[in-house]
Amino acid sequence: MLPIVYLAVRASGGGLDLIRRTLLRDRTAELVTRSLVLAVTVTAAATTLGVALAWLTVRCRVPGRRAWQVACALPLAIPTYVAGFAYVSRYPGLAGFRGAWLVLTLYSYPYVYLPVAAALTSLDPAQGEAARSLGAGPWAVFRRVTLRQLRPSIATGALLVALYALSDFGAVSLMRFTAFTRAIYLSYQGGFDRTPAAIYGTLLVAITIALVVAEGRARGRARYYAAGRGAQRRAVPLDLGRWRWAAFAALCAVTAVTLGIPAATLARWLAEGTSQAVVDETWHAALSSLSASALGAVVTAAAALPIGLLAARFGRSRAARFAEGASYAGHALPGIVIALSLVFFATRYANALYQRLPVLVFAYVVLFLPLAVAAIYGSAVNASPRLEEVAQSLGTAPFGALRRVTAPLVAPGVGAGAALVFLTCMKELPATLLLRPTGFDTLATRVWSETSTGAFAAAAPAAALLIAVAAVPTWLLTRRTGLAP
Amino acid sequence: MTAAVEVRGAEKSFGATRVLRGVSLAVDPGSVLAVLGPSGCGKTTLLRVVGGFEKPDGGSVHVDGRDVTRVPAHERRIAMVPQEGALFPHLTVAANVAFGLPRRERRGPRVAELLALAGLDGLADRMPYELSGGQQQRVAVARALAPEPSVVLLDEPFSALDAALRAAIRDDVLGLLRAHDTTAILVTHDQDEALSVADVVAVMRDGVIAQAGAPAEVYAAPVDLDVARFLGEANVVAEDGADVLVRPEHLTIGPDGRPGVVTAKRYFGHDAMVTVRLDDGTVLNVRTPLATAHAPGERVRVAVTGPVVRYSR
Repeated sequence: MLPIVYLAVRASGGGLDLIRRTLLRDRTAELVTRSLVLAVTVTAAATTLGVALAWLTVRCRVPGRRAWQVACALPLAIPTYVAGFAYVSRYPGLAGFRGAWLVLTLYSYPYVYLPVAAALTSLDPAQGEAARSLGAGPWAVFRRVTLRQLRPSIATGALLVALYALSDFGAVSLMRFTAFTRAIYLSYQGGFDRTPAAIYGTLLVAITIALVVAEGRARGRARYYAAGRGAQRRAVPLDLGRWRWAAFAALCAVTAVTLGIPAATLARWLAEGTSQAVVDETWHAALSSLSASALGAVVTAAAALPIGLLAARFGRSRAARFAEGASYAGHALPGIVIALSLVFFATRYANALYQRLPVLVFAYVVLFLPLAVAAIYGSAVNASPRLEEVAQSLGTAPFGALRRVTAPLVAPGVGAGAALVFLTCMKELPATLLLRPTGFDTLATRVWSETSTGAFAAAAPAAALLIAVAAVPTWLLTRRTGLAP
Repeated sequence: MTAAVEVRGAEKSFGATRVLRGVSLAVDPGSVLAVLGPSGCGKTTLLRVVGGFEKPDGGSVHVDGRDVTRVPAHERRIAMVPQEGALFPHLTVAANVAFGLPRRERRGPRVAELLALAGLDGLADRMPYELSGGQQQRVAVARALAPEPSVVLLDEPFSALDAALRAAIRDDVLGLLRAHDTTAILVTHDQDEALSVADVVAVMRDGVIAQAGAPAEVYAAPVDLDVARFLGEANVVAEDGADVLVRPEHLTIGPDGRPGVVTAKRYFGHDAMVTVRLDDGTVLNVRTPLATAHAPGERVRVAVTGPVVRYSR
């Protein structure tokens, strides 16, 4: 939290007058409008797409249902700057709002798809069947029963998409659409005075917080619909009859656009051949990514361990709320804002560290701590204090109980958390871009810088490597929601 | 004879709630004590005080005559079987049972011996989630017995099991405890369980032991009507300024006694409970072995054929 507070302090450093001038500029109003329009249109489109795909792949009899469930979650594995690179290099005309909207929608809808598909899988079919027995047709059941039951998961997913659209840097900057994040970057790079960048950053955080609070209010007392107790039947998938081939075609089309186009584009650029220099540079970048991400993962997991353990021992309801809150916080704070605040912080108080690895690693910790805490929390709740008590009653001293019972139970969570953070660090772009040591190129910054200068073939190998890396946590996520085998 | 476990005047409060208000009890070596009480009466807290997981605010705990109130849990030699077993989920059945043994004995014959005794042959390499509820419970008991503790504590160990399974598992577990001559304290809210398995039943209420004694004694002569009602069906009849307790099985429908009319009947297969409203308005529940006889509306006579207990008001 400290860096954010400092950002606000820094923003006010220029005096009220500068703040007023910056905020009242036409450009600022335009910026706010652009970002909000982008966020709203992306959220609407991604929610529709996500719910439709979830319903088709979970509740309908479509050829190859299980495979489609994985395919529909996969776009999450493609960082927006990689997707942006694929689209803008193939269709240069897309640059601008349309391109940013398209890329953000296509690669953020899994945030809606995953929770809704999970909810649909665990939904008790009895209520829908009761509605059918009262004379409602399939469409009426979907509209009047299923959709109502899904509302909490849809709301959660939509909020994540909106936050994603607001904080994304990759797609908007590669599509040259000046939303908040790009404006912050440009203003940071361009001017001698970095105060306007700080003001924009504070404004973006304020909008983000307002969004989260507004959603919390709107949700009110609607809670997640937990699966009922006792043995529950699985829903019988709906037989679409002749329409199932139409559904199949629709799924093919979506997958072709989300996965096919980037794959084809990458393949084309890779086939064009790369010079030895590009291979060497990519190799170097991969090593840099590896070392920075490994450091980030280890430090983050170490910092998350006590938090996750404490949260799990706090008592159920409070801990659950904590876990939920933490997962939002992780998505809510834009990487570029964190990075910017750390830049200010480091130049002011730790100049020796500025543009050194420790600051970058610290940024990773701030950004991805919630991910690691959630993973550790998940395994720590299984290591109930009751088990330690049993161990003690069998004659094992408290430290021995910790070592022989709790540690082995929590270890997988720590490992999973560290792995997740590692892979997410590999993908991270804006913070790495701002905080990396001079000359320190990672895979992410390579894709970004080569694409920015139109050197598409040079960006391709790094992009391909990144997709391979990012596919792993997506697969894990799909498995955790009970979709993938 | 020195008691295997003795609790003297144990007190414990959580915030403003006084959970234990001076509990005293003693368990003879090799016997099974059942602490019986409604949920929230403090019986689990009592067990945790004995086990060393809660520090009492007052009073003391003794094991084999030694004051262990300040001895940490792992040095008390009191093994615990919590609700639903609480097996270590990352260890096999054999490793669970071996957990409390010294390192060199963990691979020895003792584990196989205990598994055989608990009827768990062939399950040694299973993981806990691969076991049924009853099997998990037996592993938990074998695990508790392995380090040869002075006392085994069982916290509602059978409440999570199906009713059909419960009696069988209970007999197995108690057999296992008796085979080892182990002293045990069993906490339960099920009066049938307490009466059928324990050598001594201690009825707990609002943080104190209301009555302790042999099951037959406590059932036949409860100290007050609340204890009487908690232990089983009870008819309470006002007579000469006193309350008279008559158990339904001590009433008989026959040619003699006071007249009345049958108002309801609950059929149990092996017997039945017949509700009779006497002509003076008194309502009595009568347990009758003639399960198929007596329909509502029938006129009958009810006689007392067993002991009654009088409580002056």
